[in-house]
Amino acid sequence: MHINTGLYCFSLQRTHQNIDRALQLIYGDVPTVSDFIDFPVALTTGSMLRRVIKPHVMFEVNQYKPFMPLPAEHAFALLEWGMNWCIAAHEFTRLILHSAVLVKNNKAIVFPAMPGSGKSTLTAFFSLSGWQLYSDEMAIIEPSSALVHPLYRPVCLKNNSIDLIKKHFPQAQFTPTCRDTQKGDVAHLKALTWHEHSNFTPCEIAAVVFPQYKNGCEFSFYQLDKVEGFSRVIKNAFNYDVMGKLGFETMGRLANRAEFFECQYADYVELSDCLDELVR
Amino acid sequence: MNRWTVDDLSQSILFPQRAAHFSLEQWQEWLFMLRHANLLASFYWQAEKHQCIESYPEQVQRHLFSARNYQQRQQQQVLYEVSEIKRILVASGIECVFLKGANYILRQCSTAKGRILSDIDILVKQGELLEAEKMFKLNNWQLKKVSDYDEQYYRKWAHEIPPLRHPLRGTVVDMHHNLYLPISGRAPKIELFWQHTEQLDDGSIVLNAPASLLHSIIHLFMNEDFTNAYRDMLDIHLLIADYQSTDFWQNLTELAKQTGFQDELSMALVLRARLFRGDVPRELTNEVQTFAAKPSNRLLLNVYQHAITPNHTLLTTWRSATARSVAYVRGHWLKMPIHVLCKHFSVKLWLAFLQHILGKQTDTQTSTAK
Repeated sequence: MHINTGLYCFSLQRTHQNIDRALQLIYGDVPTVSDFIDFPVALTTGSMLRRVIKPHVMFEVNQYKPFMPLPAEHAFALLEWGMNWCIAAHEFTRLILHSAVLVKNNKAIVFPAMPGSGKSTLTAFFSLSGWQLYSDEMAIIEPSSALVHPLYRPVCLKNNSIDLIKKHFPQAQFTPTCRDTQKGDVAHLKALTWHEHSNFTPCEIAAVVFPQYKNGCEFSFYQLDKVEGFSRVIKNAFNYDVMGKLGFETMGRLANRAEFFECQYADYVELSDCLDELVR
Repeated sequence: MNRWTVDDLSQSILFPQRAAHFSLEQWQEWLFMLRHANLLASFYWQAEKHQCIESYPEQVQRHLFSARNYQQRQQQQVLYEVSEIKRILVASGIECVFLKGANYILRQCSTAKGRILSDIDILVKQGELLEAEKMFKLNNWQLKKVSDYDEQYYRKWAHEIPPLRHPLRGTVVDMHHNLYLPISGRAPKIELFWQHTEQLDDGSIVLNAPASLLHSIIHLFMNEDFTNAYRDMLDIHLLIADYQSTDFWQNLTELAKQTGFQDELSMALVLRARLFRGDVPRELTNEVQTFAAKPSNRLLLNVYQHAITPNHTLLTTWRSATARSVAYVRGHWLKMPIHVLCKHFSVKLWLAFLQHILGKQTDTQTSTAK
């Protein structure tokens, strides 16, 4: 089958892994045939013996295995991480930040963050509250225009966040949870349809917000100067160093147009007002 | 069913205007094969040279530009590391020769265009090896952690020490004191190669053109690992195209004779003719014909021709799969005397058993899933 994520197309070959439900839920509404495949990926099982004892699953792209095998139950999470890897390891014509991207009023806010900052929970919350989900995992920025591309991918939620979002949005559609991965429990949230995604176009970045969730903290939201913003963004970039001058110029364009903020929050009420203000 | 032959591959790399007629599906497969063979950026530069990139589909151009950006950045990094290595070693008055990829990049020959390196290979004199290792360590380089078995393999039998790695930049340097394993009995008198070095404008010392080619040939035909064999064969083809002259062939033949690699030279020339349609030079026609006429060599040539085929499902046939296994065994056979080889194979078999049957990962280079 083909998995079309908008910017990049994958062909998926698999050997009896039980990921049909998750695949159907997340990518079931995507046109099934693409005319050009960027990455041929596969989920494969190990040796004969390993199919019976402690079955595991391996991710493969073009006959290359970037990761160690994982337990078979983690197959869908491995596929999602593998697809992220393909993009991050091969895309050097566009700047990629480890970041979520949300859009409202045709203006994008980019949320670069280290793991554990609450980025994905924030992404899930706002993408189910009227914001358009451009990406949960990576901001893909076009050098010539500094516009950010939409990517058709789910939101990857971990541990307590899964129940938190399920409780807040009982209608939300989740893949079955993969228990005890190296990131803990993981489930993927479908936060938009292919039809919605196909109407998205590359979007101007109005602001870059560095989020930090902290239980019980007082809400703070303050602006960073552009130099500080610039240097913190590139710490979250996948390929800034490889892109050299092109990466620097892209960041320059971005810094000239966008404003930079840092925020600490314990709930989404005040944060929501601040974000709305940025895209007014 | 394979839809591609090695000849398709070679001819479209050397004459990229042929690729303009590919269907989108062929393009897709083409990119898969080249990426797998580490040749995407090399193809970009071939296409750039023949000014045909604009005739390619937009999706294809994007992958080529991406591969070029990656490779250009790597080339810049290599030049930086070369200056670092020179700075580190010059403090102790140690001379070092840059080999293989770094050599090609420093010489700026056709082979360097798009060449991806996995490490930087250097040669130092055996008497200065320990001092050089110390200097690297004093400058924050670390020896890559290897198993006890591998450590003694390197120190006792090999022509190089375990890889040196810079912890911040991730660069890997392979430091050699010979171009082939002393334990094999086939290691050349290394002074002969030292006599075939030259200094470039930037002060770097590299093997001269004939010695560079001979080293590339030794590396390809005296080895068991064929992962990058096709790329190495392309290196050989392009080196010859850049440097061939009467003097070049004369020096090369002499060096091959002195170091005992005449057969490998003949083998390389026959296979270059078969895989890249390159002419055997007039100066060597007799020698090459005599070599190729011997029945045992005919078999050997067939094995290597198929083993050099990139190991991609779109190209692999039962012949190339078998050939790679035979060449794998032969490569080991050349490297070690029988008693050492038996021991080596039993250790490696045990590790393979752990990995494939029990699923235990022993390869420390494979990263964990992110």
